[in-house]
Amino acid sequence: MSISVEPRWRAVGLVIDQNTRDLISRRYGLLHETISWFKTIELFRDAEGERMIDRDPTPSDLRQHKVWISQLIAEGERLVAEIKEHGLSRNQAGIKLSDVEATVEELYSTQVQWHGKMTRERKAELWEKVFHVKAPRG
Amino acid sequence: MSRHPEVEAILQAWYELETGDPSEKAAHLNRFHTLLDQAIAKSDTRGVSRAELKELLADPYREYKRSKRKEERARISRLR
Repeated sequence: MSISVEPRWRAVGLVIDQNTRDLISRRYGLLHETISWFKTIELFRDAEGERMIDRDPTPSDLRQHKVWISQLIAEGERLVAEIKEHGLSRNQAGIKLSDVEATVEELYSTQVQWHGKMTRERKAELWEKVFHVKAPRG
Repeated sequence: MSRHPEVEAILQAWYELETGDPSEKAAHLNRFHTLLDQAIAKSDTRGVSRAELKELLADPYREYKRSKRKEERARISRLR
């Protein structure tokens, strides 16, 4: 049985899969793989914006998002490990190890934003205890 | 709900982290985490984590991003 995947997500998935293969085979070098990863995140953000911000996401959007963000995080963690071992050459984009680490953290933030399991009761409690206001409706 | 200034600042920092240049990610993350840590320090409860605050702010952040995307589209259409 084939599973229908929205073309935006399919494109994101194809690029991520290719990047992962290239990174594992060290095909283009660490700097190139790092820049490709950043560009893929932009593609992912475009899909996220179109499918999940501008409109309400479908269950399929949420599934695709969960899959691809996990893979981007895994690829980012792998890049961090490789850069710590081999270093990242100075580059025109000015990207440093700390920027790659920060971007992995950014992706973890997005993961918890969309796929967290916090209950409505816990949210209400935290709105009051942290920000001293009632939970917004929604 | 009119937005809480502290919440608004966190949402803005989160947005800047996501949309900033790759070479500025570390600086943006530092700002984002500093604001989260300040909110945690001022809270009336112990043991709240950054991750919990991010999850708490998930829906307001989505609305914030939606309004930013609308603003950006309006800006681009004015330029055309």
